[in-house]
Amino acid sequence: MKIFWFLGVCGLLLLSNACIEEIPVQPGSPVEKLVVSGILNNVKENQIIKLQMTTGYGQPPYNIENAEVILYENKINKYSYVEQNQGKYVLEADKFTAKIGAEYYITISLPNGKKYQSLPEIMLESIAPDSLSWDITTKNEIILEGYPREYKATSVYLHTSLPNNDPDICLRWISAGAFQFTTLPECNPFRSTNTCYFSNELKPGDPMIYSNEELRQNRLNRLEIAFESMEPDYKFMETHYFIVNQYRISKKAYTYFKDLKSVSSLNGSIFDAVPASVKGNVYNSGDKNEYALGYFQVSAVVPIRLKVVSSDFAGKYALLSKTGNLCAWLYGNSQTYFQACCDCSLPDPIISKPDWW
Amino acid sequence: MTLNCNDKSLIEILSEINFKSEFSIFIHDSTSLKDIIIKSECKEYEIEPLLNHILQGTGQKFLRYDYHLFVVADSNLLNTELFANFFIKKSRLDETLSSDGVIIGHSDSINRSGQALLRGLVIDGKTDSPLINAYINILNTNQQTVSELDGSFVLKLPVGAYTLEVEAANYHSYQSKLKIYNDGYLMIKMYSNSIDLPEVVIGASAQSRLENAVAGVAELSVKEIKKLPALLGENDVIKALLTLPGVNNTGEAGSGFNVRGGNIDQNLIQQDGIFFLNPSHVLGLFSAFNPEVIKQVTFYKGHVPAQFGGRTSSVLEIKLKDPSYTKYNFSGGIGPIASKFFVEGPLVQNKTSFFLGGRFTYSDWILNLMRDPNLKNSSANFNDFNLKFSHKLNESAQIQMSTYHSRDHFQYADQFGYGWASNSISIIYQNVLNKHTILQSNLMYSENKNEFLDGTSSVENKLENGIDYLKAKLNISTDRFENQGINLGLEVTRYLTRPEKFSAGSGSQSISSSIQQSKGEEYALYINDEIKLSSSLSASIGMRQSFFRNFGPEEVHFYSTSDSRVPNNIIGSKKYAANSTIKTYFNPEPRLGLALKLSNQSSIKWSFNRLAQYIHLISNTAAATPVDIWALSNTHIKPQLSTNYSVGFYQNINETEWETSVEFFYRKSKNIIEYKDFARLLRNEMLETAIFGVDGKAYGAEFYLKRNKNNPSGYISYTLSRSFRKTQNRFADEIINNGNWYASNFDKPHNLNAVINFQLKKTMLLACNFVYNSGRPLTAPVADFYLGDNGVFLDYSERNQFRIPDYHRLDISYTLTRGAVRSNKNKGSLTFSVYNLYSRRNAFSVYYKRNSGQPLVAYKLAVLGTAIPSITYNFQF
Repeated sequence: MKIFWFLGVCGLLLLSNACIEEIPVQPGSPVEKLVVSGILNNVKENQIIKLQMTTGYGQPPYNIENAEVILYENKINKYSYVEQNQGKYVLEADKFTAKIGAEYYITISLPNGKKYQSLPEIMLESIAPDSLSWDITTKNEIILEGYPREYKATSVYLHTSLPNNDPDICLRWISAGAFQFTTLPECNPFRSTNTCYFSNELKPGDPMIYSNEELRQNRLNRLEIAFESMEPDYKFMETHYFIVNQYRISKKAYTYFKDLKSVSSLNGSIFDAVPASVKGNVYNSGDKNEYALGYFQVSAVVPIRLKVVSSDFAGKYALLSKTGNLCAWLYGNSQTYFQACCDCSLPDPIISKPDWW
Repeated sequence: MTLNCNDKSLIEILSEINFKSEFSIFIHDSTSLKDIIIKSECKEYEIEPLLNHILQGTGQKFLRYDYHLFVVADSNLLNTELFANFFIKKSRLDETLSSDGVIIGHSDSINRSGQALLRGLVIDGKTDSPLINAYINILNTNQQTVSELDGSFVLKLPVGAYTLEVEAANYHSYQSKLKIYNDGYLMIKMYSNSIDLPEVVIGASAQSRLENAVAGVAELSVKEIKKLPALLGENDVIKALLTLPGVNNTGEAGSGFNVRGGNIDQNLIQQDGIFFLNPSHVLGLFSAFNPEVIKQVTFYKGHVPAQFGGRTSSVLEIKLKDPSYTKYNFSGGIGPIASKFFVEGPLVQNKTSFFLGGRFTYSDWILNLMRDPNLKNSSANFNDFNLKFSHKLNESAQIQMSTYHSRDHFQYADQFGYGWASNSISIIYQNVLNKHTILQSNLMYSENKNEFLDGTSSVENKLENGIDYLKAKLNISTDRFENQGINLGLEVTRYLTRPEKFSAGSGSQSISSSIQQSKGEEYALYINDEIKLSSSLSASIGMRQSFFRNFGPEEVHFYSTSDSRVPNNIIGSKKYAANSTIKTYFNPEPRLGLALKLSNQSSIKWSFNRLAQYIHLISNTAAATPVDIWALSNTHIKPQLSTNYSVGFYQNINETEWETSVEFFYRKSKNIIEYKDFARLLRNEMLETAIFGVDGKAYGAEFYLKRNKNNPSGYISYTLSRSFRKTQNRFADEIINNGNWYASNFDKPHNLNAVINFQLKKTMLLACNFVYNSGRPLTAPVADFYLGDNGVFLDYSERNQFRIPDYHRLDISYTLTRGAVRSNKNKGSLTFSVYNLYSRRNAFSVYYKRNSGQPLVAYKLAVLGTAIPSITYNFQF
């Protein structure tokens, strides 16, 4: 009997131990590295570059002010970015629009005297996506390592035809969501209702990239480009847009984002590649071995949007009732409403009504 | 022993004892015993009381010659003369046995020189197979030697009387008085002292370790391998090697092992001449070697004799058992995840024999118990089989055929799966040309196939690769020249790389492809001489001349020398036809080992080796994976070279009760394969654009203390070592850590192992194993940065600037043995073991992750993060 008792205890030990455990982070010495983040596209809109400096592991980077950022077009034309705020430098839409086929690079002069420069990139011809579609899917999310939870999401699918004659096509997608929300008339019968517009992030946050190096057919069909949790579902109660910007990127940019993605998806298994600092295309002009973090992307872009209204969810997902479940609550015997439903103070970032809405 | 004696003839009963027990009964006159009928029951007896019982009143008596050997004869005849004559007749050798022991020659023919040459052979008394490294000692003299590969030994002695003692690990020691008058020949039969353990010896015995001129031969008796608490009851040669100084690996799921700072591909691992490319099962949790079929294991980590080559770090040579020509034996074991069996016996008595050994798993039930649904739906299993035939062509020649089959399968839910298989055959012809010379020729073929199934999407993509080889080796060993043992030979290996074949699933958008890796042939001519320069100084001097030819068909790309080796910098290409020579390499590999015996108890050894390697494992993951490519040297991939120096001091204390040693080593390497950041290694037609060669250096000190006899026994080893790499390239993508020395992936400065065995009773053994290692190097994040809408990313340090947490673990096992004391032919043992007793969650790796809405967190992944108990039953009959 003692043997069975022993085995029972041992069996419990075996089954009750998890194999993944949080450990204290080894603090390294502070590392200051320039971070350059920006896309130059061919749309007539403000072109933005953000400059920051890293401070170390687990510490937020700080914004760099008083830097000088200059864009060179075909090595001849110069355009200066104007500092806006919080490390943002803007090239205003009315002063410049990038051209397909032109070569661009930037120079950055920091207040500490260091100078950086990006490798020249040619703006390649854009490729327009064919269409977007969506569906309700079930996703898993890790809240605590080793403990996944399931939730419902809207998945956005992209369909794109690629030119047959170009063997070297690399694409990157950045997606976002936008929705409208109308305040409740019940909040204040004497005030007219107000319609607000919000933006929201779609997942995944990893860079979505593709290269036709290994493609069998020159078409991307039903590529899940992003997804968005159904919670909170007030996002979908009126009109909701899925927006996908399809960028034509260079091979070097593709490699950069692929490497960035690979170091972001390490999970400690034997199949993990050795991680490394991902080198972008901005380097110190005085020391070519010193690379800035981030990438200055030169890309032609074609946006595509998909409109979804609440009635589209019929039979797919039961959206909450705005006045029955979402906004109303009982205060004593009287019904009252959440403030957000009365004045649009939702947690999402509010935006002005887009031109294309 | 229990026998049914009643109404049986004495001859029948003695034959039954012969058959059922480990004892041999020699009967002087069997005809006279036929008529003697025993009229009583035999109860459970020890062997001597049993013989006394059955011989009582029969006029017969027995004489115990040694532990296993009894002579039964008429009590009047059982005297010295008969005994001596009997053995003369039986052995047909030059030896004579008297009551005073063995007599060589005759007192009438004393050698005039006053010296006599004693040639001998040490064999296993049960299987007649030769015993290597048995220690032959003439007590109270300085005459000692160790037996050679074929069990032979030579001693030159002054004519006289001596006491001869022979020791071999796992065998009862042999002691006899010896009178030598003239040159003669002596056969010594040794009998296993292990109850349920196979007779495997790693390295040499205590004394031979002191004596021979080869430094850095690690020692571990195999009895100790079996005593080591094993993971899930599976005794493991490689896990045992990891307890030796200078040997470690990347962790529980780490395939292979690292020796003195070398890569896992720098170890030559061969079993009956077949070299293993993947020595592991279940992604490194178990080794590919079945201990039941192993005869001996020799591990060279310092000095590598010239007979061996092709790797730059170490040699692990495993010899399989020689199947018994006389008896059928069966043994096996049943464990929680795997079972094993071994059967051997004669096909034609004393002419042809075979053995079959196998292991197979049923481990899925453990995965089914897991909470994680993915693990629950996963499966992992393996099997391996060894089949060997041995046939005596005549008294001096034999031919053996040895085959090995292994298959592994690992499926992670419906997401991905691995499979790898190995099939090998080896034919060995051995001919004793004369008393001094043995010729051995080997011919072997091995195929090694791997596949990876990617089922993450709705389609199933499959990647297959592998490498086959055909190898021939001819070796002549001779001791024709006094005090010298010469090995010379030729070795040819033709590598047949399998195309790296990617098959896109039917609904996949990927393109199927097939990439042919480089092909090549490796030749080596060698000579090695073990010379006894004086009574205290011996040397092992060798030269190996290796030659490698890379041949077509292949398209070779040439790159601009002014920029880094990337596809964009190709300046030309050349296509080579099938079998045409593309590139050749030629490397002399001198080997020198010296041993200076300071006393009967101590020695100093020094060695120098240069080694070349033409086959390389291409892997930049945390541990080797089954689909890693084996690439051959070619225009761009140069041979790896290492120069090794070691010096050691060895001291035995209290005869051979205690062994101690300290060894220092230094290794300098060239052209070690290193990887560009984010190198794409699979499905890369231009593999050379992802890798480059770097320099390496490793150095350290290894301390070893072992207690061979008495209770408790065991050993403690400690290694203090470092292993570094350095790039010397010109281009940014081929420079790591600014061209400074950096720690290699398996640089573990401290490595401590302690194995202690407590023999509680004759039938009860408690064994403990403690391991401590420094954590292996890690490239860790040093900064956070934001990239617009894509979120937060990590910037990583220079390569291997940090370490994962240190590793330590305690295992225990408790073995109950049946038949250890009683002379019962049917033996069994029950082992309870707990691996990782205090449930240490040792980190296999550390990674960093930012879960939804949470700050970035460091996690450690423990492959076996818990105590793992097991029960194993081993049996033998």
